[in-house]
Amino acid sequence: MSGTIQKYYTSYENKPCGTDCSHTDLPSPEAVKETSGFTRRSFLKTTGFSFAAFMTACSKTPVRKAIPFLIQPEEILPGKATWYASTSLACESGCAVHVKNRDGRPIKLEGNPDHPMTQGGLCTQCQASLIELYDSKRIFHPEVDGMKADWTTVDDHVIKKLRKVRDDGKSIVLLTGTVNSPSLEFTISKFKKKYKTVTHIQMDDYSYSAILDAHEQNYGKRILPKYRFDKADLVVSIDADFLGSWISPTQFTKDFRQNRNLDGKHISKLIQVESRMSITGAKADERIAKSPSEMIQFVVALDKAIRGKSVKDKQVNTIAQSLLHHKGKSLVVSGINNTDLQILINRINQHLGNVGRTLDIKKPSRQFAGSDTSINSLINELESGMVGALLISDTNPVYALPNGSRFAELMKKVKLTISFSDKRNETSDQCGIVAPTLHDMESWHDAELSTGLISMMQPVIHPFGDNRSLRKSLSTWMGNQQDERDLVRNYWKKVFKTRVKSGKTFARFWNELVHDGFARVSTATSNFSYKDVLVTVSKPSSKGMELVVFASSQMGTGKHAENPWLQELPDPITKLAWDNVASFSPETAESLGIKTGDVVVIQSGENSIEIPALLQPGQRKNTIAVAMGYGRKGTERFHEIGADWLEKVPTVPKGKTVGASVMPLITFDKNISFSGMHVTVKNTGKTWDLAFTQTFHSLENPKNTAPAIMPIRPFVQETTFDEYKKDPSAGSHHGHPVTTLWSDDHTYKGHHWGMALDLSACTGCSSCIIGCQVENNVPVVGKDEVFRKRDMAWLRLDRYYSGTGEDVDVSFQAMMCQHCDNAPCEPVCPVLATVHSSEGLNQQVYNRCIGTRFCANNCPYKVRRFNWFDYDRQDVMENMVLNPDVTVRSRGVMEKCSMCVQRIQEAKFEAKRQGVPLKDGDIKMACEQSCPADAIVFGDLNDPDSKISKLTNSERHYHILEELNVAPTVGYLTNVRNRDTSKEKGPHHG
Amino acid sequence: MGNLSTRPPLIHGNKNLSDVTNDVCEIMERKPTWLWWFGFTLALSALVLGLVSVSYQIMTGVGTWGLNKTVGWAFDITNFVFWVGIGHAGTLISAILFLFRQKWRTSINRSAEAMTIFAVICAGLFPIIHMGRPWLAYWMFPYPNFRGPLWINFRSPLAWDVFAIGTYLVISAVFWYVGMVPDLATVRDRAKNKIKKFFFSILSLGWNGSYRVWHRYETVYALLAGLATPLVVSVHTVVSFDFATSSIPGWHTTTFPPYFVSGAVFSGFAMVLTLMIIARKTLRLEEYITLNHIENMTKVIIVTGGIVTLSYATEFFIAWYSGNGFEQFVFLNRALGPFAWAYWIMVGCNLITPQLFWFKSIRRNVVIVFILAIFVNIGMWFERFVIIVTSLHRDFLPSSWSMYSPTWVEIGTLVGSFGLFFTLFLLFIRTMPMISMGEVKSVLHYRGNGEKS
Repeated sequence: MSGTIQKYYTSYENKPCGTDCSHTDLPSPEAVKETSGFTRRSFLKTTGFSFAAFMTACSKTPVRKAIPFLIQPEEILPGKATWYASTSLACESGCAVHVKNRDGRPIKLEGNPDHPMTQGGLCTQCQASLIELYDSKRIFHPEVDGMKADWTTVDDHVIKKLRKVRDDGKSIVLLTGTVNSPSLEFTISKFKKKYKTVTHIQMDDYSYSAILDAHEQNYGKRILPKYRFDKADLVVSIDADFLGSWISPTQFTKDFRQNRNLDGKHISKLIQVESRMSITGAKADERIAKSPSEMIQFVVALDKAIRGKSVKDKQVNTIAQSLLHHKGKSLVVSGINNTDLQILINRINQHLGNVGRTLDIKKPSRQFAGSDTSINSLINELESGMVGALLISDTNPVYALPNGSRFAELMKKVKLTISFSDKRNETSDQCGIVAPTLHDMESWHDAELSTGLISMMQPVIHPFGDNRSLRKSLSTWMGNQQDERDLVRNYWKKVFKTRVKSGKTFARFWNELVHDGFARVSTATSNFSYKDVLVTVSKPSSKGMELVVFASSQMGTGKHAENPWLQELPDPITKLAWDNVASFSPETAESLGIKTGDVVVIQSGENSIEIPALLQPGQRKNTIAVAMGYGRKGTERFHEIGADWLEKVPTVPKGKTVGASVMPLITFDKNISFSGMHVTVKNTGKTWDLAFTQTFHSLENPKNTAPAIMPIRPFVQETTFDEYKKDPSAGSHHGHPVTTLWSDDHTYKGHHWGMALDLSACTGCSSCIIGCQVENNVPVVGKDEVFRKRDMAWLRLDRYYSGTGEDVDVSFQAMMCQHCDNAPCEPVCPVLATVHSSEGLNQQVYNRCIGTRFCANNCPYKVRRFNWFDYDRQDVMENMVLNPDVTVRSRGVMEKCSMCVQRIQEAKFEAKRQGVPLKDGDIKMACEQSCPADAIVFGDLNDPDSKISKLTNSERHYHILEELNVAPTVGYLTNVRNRDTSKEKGPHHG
Repeated sequence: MGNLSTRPPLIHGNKNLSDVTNDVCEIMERKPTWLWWFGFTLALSALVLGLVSVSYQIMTGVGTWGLNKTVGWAFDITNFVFWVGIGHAGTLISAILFLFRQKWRTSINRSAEAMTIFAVICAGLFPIIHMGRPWLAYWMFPYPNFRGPLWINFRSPLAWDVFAIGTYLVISAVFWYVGMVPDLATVRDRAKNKIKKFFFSILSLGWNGSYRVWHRYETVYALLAGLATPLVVSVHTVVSFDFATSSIPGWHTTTFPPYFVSGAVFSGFAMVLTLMIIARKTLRLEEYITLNHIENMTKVIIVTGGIVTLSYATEFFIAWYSGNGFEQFVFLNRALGPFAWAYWIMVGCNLITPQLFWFKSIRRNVVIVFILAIFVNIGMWFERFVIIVTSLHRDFLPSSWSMYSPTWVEIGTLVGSFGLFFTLFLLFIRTMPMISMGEVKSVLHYRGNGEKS
C-alpha cells in the first residue's frame, strides 16, 4: 500500500515527459491560464462560432493532440477515488486529513480518524481551503516589482541582494507565521548560518504570545501547554472560545466531547466567562457575561479565592470552591492576550494541581509560537533602518498589526522585501519580490503540531503554477538544489537515528509517515519547575464602551477571506453571511439608539471604523464585539459573484471589501491587545443590508401572536444532567400516539437508513455545513441571494435563543431533509420527481423535476432548496472541485439533502464486490465525517446492533413534529446541560 | 297566479324582436368608439408588459420573482386561484341558472361565459410560468412516452388541477360556442361583407332556424348545461385541494372546498358586475342589462359573501377548538403578524363592504355597486394571497420564517394577466354577439312565472 503511494509521488517529481505535461490529465500552468480567462460569455461565443463553422463547412475538424496515458498509473481508475493522508494547515492549528482524489483532482477533505489530535474531526477552514487550490487568482509565478519573472532571475537577484545586506552588516529578517515544521526549522537554521545576520521572527495574526510569555516566566521555557479538555471535569474558561476558534478548536472539541458522554456517572462542567456570545459560551453549562475589564478583575479575584483569601464576590467564591473541589481535574484557561493575567492563570492552575494532569507542559503544543515582544523589536529595528532585507511568509503584518499602515511605510525603507504568499494580500503588495508558495495540497511539508507528533503533508496534485515552498526558496538561495520532496525526506533521514527509535528502517518509517499522515517521534523532555512570579495586574477602568475583537470560527484571522465557501457560511451565532458586524447587547443598543443594520462609527483615539451594528442577545452591556478577518484586500472579487439579473445587488460594491477591518482599533502595548479597548460609538444614520440565513431567533411565538396553548415550540428538547440521571427520558416528551391511514405496504426489508443528531454533543461549529457543501456541489449564491433568503445549504444549523438580557441560552439544531417515511413532499409532486427508495430515502430526481416548488411548500421542515437561477461559478477554474458523483443542478430544479446517496451506493457496491455484508459504520455521511463533536450518527435502522438503532431506541431520542406523523428517519437526542436544576433559566423548552 | 303585471319586465324599452337583433348586432357592425380604442390600447399595453415580464422571467429564472426558500408560491398561485375563481360566475350563470329557469340570466350569460373562458385562459398560464422549467410543462400530461413509460403522479393535487382546468376550459368553450350558434347565424345573415359572411357561415354550422334545429339545439344546450353544472363545484374544489391536502397549517383544512367554491362565485359575480356595468354604460345596453340584473347579482354576492365570512370564522374557531398550537399561531399571525395589512384588506373588502348590499338603494346605485364590486375583486385577490403567503412565511420551524415582497416582474405579470383578459374581452365584444339574442327574444315580454304576455 505504502509502496504504491511512494511510486505515485515519484511519478510527479520525475515525470518522464519533462516539462511537457500535455499527456497527463492534470492541468498544466498554461491550461490554468487558459481556463481562468475563459468566461461564460467567451465560452458561449466559441461554442456558437464553432457550431456555425461546423454547420457551414461540414468538414472534419483537425484532431488536436489527444494522447491517452502512455503508461496507465496503476492506482488511478477512472471513476474511482484514491485517498491520501495529509495535513491541512489552513486553520493554523492544523487538521489531519484524508484527501479524496478523483481523476487526479483532490475533490474532498475528510478528517483522519487515526490522528491523535483531531481524531477525525475537520474544521470549516481546512475543509473549505480546498477551493483555494483552484483559485485562478492565485499567484502562479514569481514576480519582481509586480512584473512576471522566472525563478533564475529572482534567485540571482535575491542572492546578490542578500549577500550585499549581509556584507553591509544589516540584518536580514525572516518574518514568518509559527514554524513548527522540523525540516523547515532546519532549513532556517542553515539559512541563518549562511547569511549570518538573519533573525527569525514568528508572528501569529491572532497572537497567543501572552500564554507563552507567561510560561516563560513561570516555567523558564516559552511554551504553549497542551490543554487536556478530555481530562478536566470542571473547565473555567475566561474569554477562551476553545470550541470555536481558540488555539486548536477541532482537537479541543473532540477532547471535550469525550468527557461529556452521558453513559457515565458524571459529565464535565463548563463555565464560560465572556463578553460576546461565542459558541463555547453557547455550549457552556454556566455562562457569565462580563466585560473585558470585569474579566480581569474576575481572574484577580479567582486567584485570591483559590489561595484561600477572602473575596467579596459570591460568584467567584462559589467557582473557586468547586475548582478546589476538583483539584487536579479542573482546568482554567483564558484567551486574554495579557502576560500578567496569564501568569495569574498559571498560578491558579498550578495551585489546583492541574499541571501535568489537565494541562501538559512536558510535551507542549507547538501550534503557535508567535511573540509580541519580537514584533515590537522588529518594528524598532525597522524604524532605525537597520533592516536590509525583510522576508515575509505566512503572515500578513500590514493587515494584522494595529498600526499596519505604519508597518507598510517602514517596509518601504527596506531594500529587499520578499513575500512568499501565493495570494495577493496587504503585505505582498508592499514587497518588491513575490516568491509564491504552494497550496497545502501541492506541498511536501511536515508539522510538529504537538511535541513528538509529526503530521505529514504530501502533494496530491501537480502544482498549478510555477510555485515553490519557502523551504525550497531558502534552500535555493543557499545553493541547495534538492527538490521539494527530498528537502523534507532528507531532513528526516538525517535525524532518523536520533529522533525515531522504533527499530524500523528509514524507508519503512518514511513510507508509513506518508501513508498514515503522522508518526510519533521521540523528543527530549525536560523537567520544568514552577516559579511563582509576583504580578500586579493593573485594574482597568470599566467606564465607557469596551471593544472585543475576536476571530470567528469560520473566518479566523482573515487568511481565507477570498474563500467563497467560508464567506457564505453563516456565523454560527449571528447566522450572518458575507459581513462582519459590531455586536451590541440589546439594552446598550437601545440606550444608544442603534438598531440592527445601522452603520455605526467606532472610534478609538485617532482610528475609527465604520461598520453595521447587530443586537446580540447574551452580550455583556457596554461592550462591542467585532470579528477580525474582514475588510481583507482581495475580497473585491466578490463584486461579480451570484446570479446576474436586473434587481441584483452586488455582494460588495465595486472596489469595496467584504466587511470592515477592525484591526486599526486593536492596541499594541506590551502585548497585542484584542479586548478591553475603550471606544466611542456614533450612529451614522446610514443603514446596511445584512444577509442573515435566519431572521427569527426564538422558539417562542412573537409576543402579539402568542397563543396560550403553545408558548414554545418543542423542537429543541433539553434537560439538566441531574434530571437526566433520575430519568434518562427527561426533557424529551412525545406527543399523542398517532394513527395512520396509510397501509403498511412500505416496509423496508433490506436497509432502512436513518440518522440521529445529538444536541448535547453539537457545538455549532458548522463543520458539517461545509462538509456537505463540498461533497454535494452545493453552489455559492452571493450575498444578495442570501439576503433574499435563497441560500442553498442542504444542511443548515438552526440557532434559537432563550432567556432574557445577558442570561441567554443558545441552542443549535442541525436541520436537513428528515427523509420522512410518510414524506409530505412526495405525494404532491405532479411528475414523480421526488420518490421514496426501498431503503427509506427520500430521493429527488433532478432530471424529472419541472420546478413547481409544491414539495418545498409542503415540507414542514423547509429543507428543500430551489435553483432560482443558474448559479455559475464566478471562477470557472473552481469547477474542478466538483464531485463527479453528484449531479450539478441547473436552474428551475429542486434539490435537498440526499443522505449522501452516492456514498451509500459506493459502499454497497464495494461490499457486494467483496461479497461481505455492509457493516455498521462502513458508510459515513459527509456531515458526520467532519463533525468534531461526533454529534451525527448515520446507519441502518433495520440492524438492531447498529449505533443508530441504539440511539433511536434511547430515552433521549425524539422526532421533530412527531404529531404530523410524517415519520422522519432523522431523529434528535435531547440536549443535556450540566447545571443546577434550580438555576434552570429562561422559559423551559417544551 | 297572483298579480303578474306587477313584476317588472326583464328587458326595458318595449323592444320588439328586430330591435334586439339591431341593438346587439350593431355593436359589432359599427366602427369602434374612441372609448373602445382607449380601453383596447390600455389592455394591450398591459398585455405587452406582461409578455415582457414573463419572457424575462422564463429566460432568466424564477429568481426574478420575490420568492424564497420559505415562500415558494406567492403572486403566481394567487393569480391562478384568483382567475379560476373569476371564471366560476360565468358557468354558474349560464348552466345552473339555466337549469333553475332563471330567465333574467339571458342578457348576461353570453358575456359571463366569455369571461369564464378568458379567465380560465389567464389562470391556466400561471401554473405553466410558475414552473422552474416551463418548457417541460407537457410532462404534467399523462401521455404514452418512452421514459419507462413514466406517468404523472395521480396522487398530486397539481395533476388533478390539470384535469380540472382542462375539462373546465373545454366544456366552457363548447357550451359557449353551442349557445352562440343561432346568434352566429343571425350575424351571418346580416353580414354584408363576403369574408365575414363566409366566416360566420362556417361558424354557424348551417343553422337554418327551423323548428327541428331549434329543438335539437335546446336539447343539446340543456345537456351541456347539465354537464357544466358539476364543474361549478368541482373545479374550485380541486383547486382548493392544492392547499387542503397539504401539511401546512392554514392550508391543511377540510372546509376548503365549499369555502373556495363560494369564494369563487363571490368573486366571479363581482367580476361580471364590473364588466357588465362598464358594458351597459359604454355600449348603451341599459335596456338589456337593467338595474334588476345588477340587483340580482348583488344578492348572489351577499349570499356567497356570507358563506365566505362563515368560512373565515370557521377557520378561527377550528384553530382554537382543535387545540393545535401551530394552527392557532397561523391564524393569529394572519390577523396580527407582518401581513396583517393584507388580511385586513381582505376582511374589509370581503366581509364589511358587501354588507352595504343589504340596502336596496345601494343595490340599485350603479356607481356604488361598481365600486363595491371592485372592492370584492381586490378582497378576493388578497384572500388567496393571505392563504398562500401568510401560511407559508411562518410555518412550523421559526428558523426558516421569512418575509415576501414582489418584484416588478411579478407585478408586471399580474398586470399582464389583466391585460390579456381585457384584450380578449374587448375583442370578443367587437367580433361576437355579446348578448344572446335568441334567448333575450324569448324573454322579451316576460312577466314572471315562465309565462309570456
